[in-house]
Amino acid sequence: MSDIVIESLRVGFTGGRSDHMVLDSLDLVIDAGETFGVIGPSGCGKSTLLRVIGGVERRWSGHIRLFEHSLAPRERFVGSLRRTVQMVFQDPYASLHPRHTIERALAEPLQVHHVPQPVRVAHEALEEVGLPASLARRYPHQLSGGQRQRVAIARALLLKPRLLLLDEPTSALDLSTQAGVLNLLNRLKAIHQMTLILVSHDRGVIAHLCDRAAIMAAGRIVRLVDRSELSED
Amino acid sequence: MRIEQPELVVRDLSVHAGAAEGARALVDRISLTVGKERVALVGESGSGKSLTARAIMGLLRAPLVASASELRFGCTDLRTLGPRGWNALRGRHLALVLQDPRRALNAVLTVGRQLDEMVRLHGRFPYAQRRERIAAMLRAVGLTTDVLAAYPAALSGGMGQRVVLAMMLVNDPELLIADEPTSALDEALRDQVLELMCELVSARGMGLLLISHDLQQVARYCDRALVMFRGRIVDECPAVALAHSTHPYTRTLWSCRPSGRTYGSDLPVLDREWQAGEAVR
Amino acid sequence: MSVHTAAARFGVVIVAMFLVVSLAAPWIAPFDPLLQEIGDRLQPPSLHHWLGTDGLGRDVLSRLIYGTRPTLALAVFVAVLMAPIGMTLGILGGHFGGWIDRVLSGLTNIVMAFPQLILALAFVGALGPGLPNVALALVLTGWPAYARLARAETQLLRRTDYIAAAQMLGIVGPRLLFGHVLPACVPALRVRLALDLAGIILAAAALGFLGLGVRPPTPEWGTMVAEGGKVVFDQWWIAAAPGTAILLASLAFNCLADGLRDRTA
Repeated sequence: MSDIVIESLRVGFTGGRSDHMVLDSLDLVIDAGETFGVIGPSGCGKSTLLRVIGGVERRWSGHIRLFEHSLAPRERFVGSLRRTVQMVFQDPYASLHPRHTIERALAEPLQVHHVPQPVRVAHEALEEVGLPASLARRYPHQLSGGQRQRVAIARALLLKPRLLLLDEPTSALDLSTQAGVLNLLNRLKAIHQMTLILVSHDRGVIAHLCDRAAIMAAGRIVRLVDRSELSED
Repeated sequence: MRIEQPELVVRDLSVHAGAAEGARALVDRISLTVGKERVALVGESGSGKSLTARAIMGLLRAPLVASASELRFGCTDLRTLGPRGWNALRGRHLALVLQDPRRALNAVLTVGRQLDEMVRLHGRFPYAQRRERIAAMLRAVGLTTDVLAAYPAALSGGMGQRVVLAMMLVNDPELLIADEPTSALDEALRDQVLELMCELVSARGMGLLLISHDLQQVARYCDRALVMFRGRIVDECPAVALAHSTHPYTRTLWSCRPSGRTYGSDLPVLDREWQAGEAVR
Repeated sequence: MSVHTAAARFGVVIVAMFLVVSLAAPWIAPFDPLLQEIGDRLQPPSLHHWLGTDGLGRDVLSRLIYGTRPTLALAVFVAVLMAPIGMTLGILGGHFGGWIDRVLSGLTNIVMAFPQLILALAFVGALGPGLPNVALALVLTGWPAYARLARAETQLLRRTDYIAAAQMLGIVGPRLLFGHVLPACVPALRVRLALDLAGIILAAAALGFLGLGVRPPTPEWGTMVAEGGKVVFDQWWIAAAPGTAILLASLAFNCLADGLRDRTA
């Protein structure tokens, strides 16, 4: 029984003379524990796909099942469903609130979900991604790009999600910083036993991290790529 | 009229964050020369490579301040050049191609207007001669004269960069400085545009200073490479030797690229001790 | 607060000076501002009375010093009420959209369609003169600009990753609006507020001039200008002193706003 099933997913803007479909009858099946990649040029809809799965984009039609949850369009994610799926965004500066300290960025979600001792857990989360706990007092603009992205990863892991979505997590980083973050992701996915869906325009990144991948263009999946083909990249 | 010995000589170039005594050195006493060859300045963001290019072209803005014990192109001392001197030099003998072609082109003028302006700025040619020159240049970059009537917004990334190349080379400069010319392009186009650039540079007997963060790209297209880290040049070698460099930073930069072959294993990262040592020095 | 330009520095210094003067008035003012000495009326500036005396023999300088109080109090009162009310309405409309936004936008547009000073006049006319009523009138007519700004900022913010990230982490409702959206709106609104304060001072002075401000004999710059206006050709100092003070205060807040805007940019 596959754990993530997407059928006939459509996201689009209708109106006027032409319908513009961002996602056009997309079908996808992913197994639990897999690291699944999505490659495509800009504008192919891969980010929108992630945002739909993450519950950020709620105007869609079709059928989506995430583990035991069956999703309904326009439905807000609450409770255990909300905790099950988390996302790491592309631009590390834009995904951390510029006026909140790192400590607040990490402790607040814990408080909202009634996790005891949120500050201590927040500091542990920082250490897990290789950052010193002293960073907690700082603001995002005082951190480097690589450090911010590690904070974003730490934040995404706070609620112990089963599915982690990554939207071009290293595109904004230098090669050597990217290497460190990719190593971290490899390690964490094994420790936390998560399913990963990773979107990137960089075939090298996909080939390094993923077991399987889908190539997207113009809102559709053009073909699926397996491990042997990826290892040629 | 071409410059006799078009060599770019840079000695002890520094760029400071301000004019004050203890201002931070963003570029710290680097030296390089570029003759009729393809030299690359490689490094990551924050290494100072773009600042170096701008300092050489006289494009630094306040509060940044550049200083050098020698900075000349041919027999022209670039340190003492005034606005008129720069106007005569830039676009005619020294050309600059930047990362985003859309930023380099004026959005409200057609390509034809802008190319024509470039030619007229640096010489008096009758209309027919200008047209011929522009047409020849467009052919050389793989475009047709159809593009003359287009506005920059209508051009794709690759076409835009070709137009910028045409603009920069139409006056037959001796040296081309290219600052990450392919970073904003899709992967498929990068090799094409770089090959074109290198072809043109060889065919015209020009020198090329390529600024890049992509070691593999540099190894393929350049003769020599200078590796920068935090404002200093830490390694220098022929481009073909990059893959086998013994310098820790170069080695890491070369091999930390993810690919199908690195699946399941850890990528090499910069040694923290080495980094700290570099910073202290 | 970093102040880069001379103008911004000027603004900060003058505003700080006014603040200090208003707080230390009892100790700085050479005379009791309400003390009338009819025998000494309409005296020109001298060593005894640095800015002369007015029509009732009261020391102009002392009245000027005490006059900083209603002016600043009004500015603070209005700022403290006007911006938060406007911002809250703007954020609610911008975030929820739909009919909430339509109702709030409609209300904003209606109030904004009236010229502020005339509307304030009407309010004060209906409620009666006095400082609290003037403040209330200015608040009720001034909030729409903030609602508009906040609504626009909120709609922009809806697209940012950090708001999306907060929502993904289960941060919703008032916590999201006031903990995440509001702080991001503040920089733009801060500049607007500083600019508005200059206008509020002028508006308050205008209302005072029309006799709708603070009740006499409490010293207030607008009222002082009105009193001095009657004898402006012979005893110019009675109107000139408060007039200059109004000018200076307004200018100072403008410069402050410029500095804040440059810093925010």
